Amino acid sequence: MANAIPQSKTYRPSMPMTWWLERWNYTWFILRELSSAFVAYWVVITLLQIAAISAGPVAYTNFRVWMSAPYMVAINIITFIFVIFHTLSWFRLVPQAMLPRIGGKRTSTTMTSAPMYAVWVVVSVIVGLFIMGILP
Amino acid sequence: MADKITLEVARYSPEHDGERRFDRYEVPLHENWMVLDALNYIKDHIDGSVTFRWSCRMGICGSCGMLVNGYERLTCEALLADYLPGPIRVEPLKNFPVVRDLVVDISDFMGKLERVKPWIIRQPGAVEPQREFLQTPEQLETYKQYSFCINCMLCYSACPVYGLDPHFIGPAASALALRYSTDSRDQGSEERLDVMAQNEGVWDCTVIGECSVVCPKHVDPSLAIQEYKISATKAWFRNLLMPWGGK
Amino acid sequence: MEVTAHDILLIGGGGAGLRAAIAIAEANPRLDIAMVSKVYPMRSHTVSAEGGAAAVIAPNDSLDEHAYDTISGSDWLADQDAVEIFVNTVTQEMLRLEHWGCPWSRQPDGQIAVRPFGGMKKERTWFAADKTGFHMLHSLFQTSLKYGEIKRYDETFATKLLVDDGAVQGVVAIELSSGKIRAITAKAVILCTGGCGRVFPFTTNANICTGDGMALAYWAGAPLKDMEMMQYHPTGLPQTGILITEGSRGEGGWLVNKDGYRYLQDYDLGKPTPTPVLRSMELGPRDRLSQAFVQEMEKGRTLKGPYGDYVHLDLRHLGEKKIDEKLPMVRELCLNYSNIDPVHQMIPVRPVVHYMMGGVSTNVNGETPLKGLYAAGETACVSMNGANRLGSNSLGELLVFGARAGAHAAQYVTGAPEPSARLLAQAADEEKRINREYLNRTSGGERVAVIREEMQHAMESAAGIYRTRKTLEEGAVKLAELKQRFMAVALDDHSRTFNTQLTSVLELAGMLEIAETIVHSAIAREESRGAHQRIDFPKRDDQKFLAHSLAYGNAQGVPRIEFAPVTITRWPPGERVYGR
Repeated sequence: MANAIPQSKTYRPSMPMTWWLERWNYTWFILRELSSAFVAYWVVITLLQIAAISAGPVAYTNFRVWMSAPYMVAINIITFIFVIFHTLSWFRLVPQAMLPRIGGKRTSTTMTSAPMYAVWVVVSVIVGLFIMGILP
Repeated sequence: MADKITLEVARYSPEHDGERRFDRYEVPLHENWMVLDALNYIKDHIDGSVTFRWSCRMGICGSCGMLVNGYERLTCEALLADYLPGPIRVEPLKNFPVVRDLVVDISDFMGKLERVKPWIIRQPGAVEPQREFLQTPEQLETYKQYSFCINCMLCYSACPVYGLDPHFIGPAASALALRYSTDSRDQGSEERLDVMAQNEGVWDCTVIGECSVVCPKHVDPSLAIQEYKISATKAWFRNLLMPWGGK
Repeated sequence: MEVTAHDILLIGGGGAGLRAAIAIAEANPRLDIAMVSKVYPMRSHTVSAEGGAAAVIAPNDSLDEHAYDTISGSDWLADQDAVEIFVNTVTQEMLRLEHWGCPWSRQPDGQIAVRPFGGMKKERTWFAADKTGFHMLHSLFQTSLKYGEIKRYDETFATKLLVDDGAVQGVVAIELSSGKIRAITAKAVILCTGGCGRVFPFTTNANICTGDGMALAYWAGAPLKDMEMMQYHPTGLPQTGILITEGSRGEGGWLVNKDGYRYLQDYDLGKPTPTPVLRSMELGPRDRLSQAFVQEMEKGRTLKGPYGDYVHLDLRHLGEKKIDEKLPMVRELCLNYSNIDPVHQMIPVRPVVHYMMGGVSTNVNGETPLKGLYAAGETACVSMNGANRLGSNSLGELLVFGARAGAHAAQYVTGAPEPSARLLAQAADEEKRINREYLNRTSGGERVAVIREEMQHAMESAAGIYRTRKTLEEGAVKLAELKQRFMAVALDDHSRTFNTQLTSVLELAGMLEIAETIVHSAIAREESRGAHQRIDFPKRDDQKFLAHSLAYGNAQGVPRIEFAPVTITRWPPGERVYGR
């Protein structure tokens, strides 16, 4: 079906550069995109760490000295916060992207989110136990 | 409760200065009055040139979507008292060309709606029942939520992706495409998937999710788009694994 | 002026208009179809219908029972040939809509579910929860998009029918976005512009329900039939007039007065039972329920509120699950507009202007007495609703008679002559008139909104649920005065771009005419029948008034009223019995 195209002069406001500051949801989105950079940085650091370990004890000691420099500690703390944020934002996203159905009815957001948080907590606890040396 | 409240109404007319400005109007604050009632009070008693669309005043016709204090609302469902002490800023929806004052041009959406083929498609040779198609309440439930779209355009206004790229098919059209593709009576999901998975289709969506937040009828278009991405991915793999056409 | 030509032109894009358009496209795909609508079609007021649409489908039901319910419901003013066509065709139409994707509510086995409705002896009302009209309209509109031959003029307001040599051949219309005035010609025009509830102050009807098509036809010389028959729906929210569907009583809701007493038992509507009984109590017809409210009010047994007297609709005993499943919109509307949760509180309700049973006089093919002019839906009066429409018959009506008008017009235009070149002069005159009387006039002193409000209040006093010669004649005098003052109306807005004050004034011009036909038809009908209750003539008078009123436009300004007999086929007039 074709419809008549309005021909009068319309006004199209342009999106301001700061559109992502207008709403929490938009800001959250931009931070989520931004946090990907920190995730990438974290992967690079992990690769460097593995390389250092395989290059022998001296290299690994140098790596640890570098990591304990105050500026690196600061960067890594910020990275850690963003990586946590990244994880949470994806957890938050899952119920927005899929809600399995049971008998035609959609499951609730909590039913989709709760298992993810549960697995996250369990894995974190196990990792924590390793770090603290409680587990072998 | 205060007995008056001020509205700041966005004005634009292509014939006069062509500039956008805000006019302030003071209106009485009656119990249960909505922003739309205030706009009608202005039009009837103060300034008959204030221009906006409205019809059913009961949240079902989809005409009166605007920005109220920066957020997309059906003005017939936006209680004045919720914005006390005011002033309340009323603007046209974002991301659409403004025709005049609070009226936007939605012809882009009307074209997109047509593109996603929002009707029941039956394949040639399919057997049509003499009476109704049997459809269980569970089968109805699968698409029901998406059928509640009133085409009010709040989701398009809230979507920055549409704002940045007007070619994006957008939330409501996607939800309506899925409404038909998940209807047990329909046989056209592949045709629609071709539209949805192409450039400027669902892959443009970056899952900001604001479309579902502002939807006054709880359609959840964001979910519809993500479900489309899953279907498109499945179809792509199916074609990759069975290029000879395992449909 | 821009002139475009088509074969068939639809005015209005609601349920009837869309059904007619599809019927034409199916009847003859070569025809050039155009649809002029003052709103985008999916905004049309069909969208607000809630409860359902009646069609015989249950195994224990029969076409004759549906016909009898409709005819007795109409207080025998319905034309029985039209009713028979309706009941015989409506099931097929509803099934077609099912095939087009309408999401009807279902039984567990997947078959169509039906619910009880007022005045119906069997359960035969199909429903899509309580958003039936919304789903029907969107299914029709979206299906219509399939037909590329339907050219749409959205947000275009028709101001005048073009008539040449006794035949209607198009319209003059304003394209709202640009203010451009167009002449759109066609060999046939179908009016599907809906009702005129906005003639009254307190109505369920949307802002757009201003009876435009009735006024267009009336100005062109076609008669308006049974205009005194304005239906009051018994349950509207007091402040806004928003409709609370009859489906809520179909599901088992009770109407109670200020003492919590189910007062309908005092008005010959049966005895109260815990579960609904068909054609009884709360499932009586709308006219009787609205009249019972007024009598209850006169006895001082209603509640007093800031927006007038009211009674309570009690749904609490239905429980949250049933309300959410069957009446979700009722709950949403009560919460949004009255701050009431029907799960826990009773809903305040009062009778509210809802539906015009009268309209442009047509035969069963949708033809008006004016050649080339058709009408269908609430704009038209076939008549299958007579003096009182049964709830859930109007959605079926717009399908059946929309399709019939479309199919018949498709046949008619194959032999019809091309529109005359003389129409252009008429169109140019109309453009000049609009500029002179509205857009270019800067002084006059009368405001659109003031005249409209005075008209609405005059109509409520003159032609409410109960009428007398005195109230009606006072109303007629007031309307004559308003028509005089209307000549001095001046707009604040002289813009060409989306001038909604211009459309309001054009609507008001039509509404003043329609108001007059209502009042004068009501004066002429000296009896009480269905929705038309004269205190000075309290009895039905089949000797004189088993007849349709026909209001014709007149040079003196006051409509001329004639009467034409009702068509009786198999059901001679009898007593209307409910609840016993």
